[in-house]
Amino acid sequence: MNMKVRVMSDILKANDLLARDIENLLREKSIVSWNIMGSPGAGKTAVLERLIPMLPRDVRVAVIEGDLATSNDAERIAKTGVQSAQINTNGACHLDAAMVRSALDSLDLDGLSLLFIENVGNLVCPSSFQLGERGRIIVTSVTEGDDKPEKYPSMFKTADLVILNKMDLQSSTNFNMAYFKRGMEGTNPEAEVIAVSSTKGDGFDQLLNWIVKRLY
Amino acid sequence: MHELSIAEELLRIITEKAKQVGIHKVQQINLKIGEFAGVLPDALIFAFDMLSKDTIFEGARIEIEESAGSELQVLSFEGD
Repeated sequence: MNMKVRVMSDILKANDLLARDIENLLREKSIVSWNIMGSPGAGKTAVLERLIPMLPRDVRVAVIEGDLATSNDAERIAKTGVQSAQINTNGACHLDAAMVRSALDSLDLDGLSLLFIENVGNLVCPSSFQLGERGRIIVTSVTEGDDKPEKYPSMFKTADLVILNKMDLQSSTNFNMAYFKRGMEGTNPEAEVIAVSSTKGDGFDQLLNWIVKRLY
Repeated sequence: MHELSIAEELLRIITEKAKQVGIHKVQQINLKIGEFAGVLPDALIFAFDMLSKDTIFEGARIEIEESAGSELQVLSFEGD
């Protein structure tokens, strides 16, 4: 006899459940976490390297780094004096909640105010995987072109903040700021955009302020 | 993206549920896939067809309801 059975559940369920556990854990400890995504070479690590030393002394930070291979990024972060944990995905194109949960075990979470999770460089896959983060920051750069928000909507739609990096190189490119802003308006009008140069420091006061305003 | 792993997860979810209600052959699966879910319906169906050979799902039809968001949900399934 033919039966119709209601299921009504999300398919990436296992990851979502684990992500919710992480979210609860971080909330209990009053740790704000940001999932940092962007193309390879956009400047995700460089932004963190410049931002972290600018944070108030009483704001303890840790960083989880995600890459297919190497611990290059975790080592760069370690040089800023804060805790860093490197996840090597060995081929996976995104971080998932299980990887983050396991990395959290290697960090001392006591007294931590802020956790950055730097995702694998990729404008596609990471957006589908919740990591228990408070929100998402995308780092894009003028050298990638001004049409990325409209070409990668599933990524840019999820951003709370878009950091537009390498402003110091704008004059060497055809990057059109007005076009970029229109793309952002069309894809995600709620997201804030902060233009920076991680090599020169421009825009970092504004970025610092944005982050600090969102701590517990 | 990752339609094969999604198809595997889909099979797992429904197998569990089918066992609970005593269904031995699944005929139809109803999904909701958002435009921004990052999933290509055709690729998902192809992966599913491959994985379902010689299982209780072989020959099952996949009906997809499209939406404007980023959902990826199993709504229901039918069988006996």
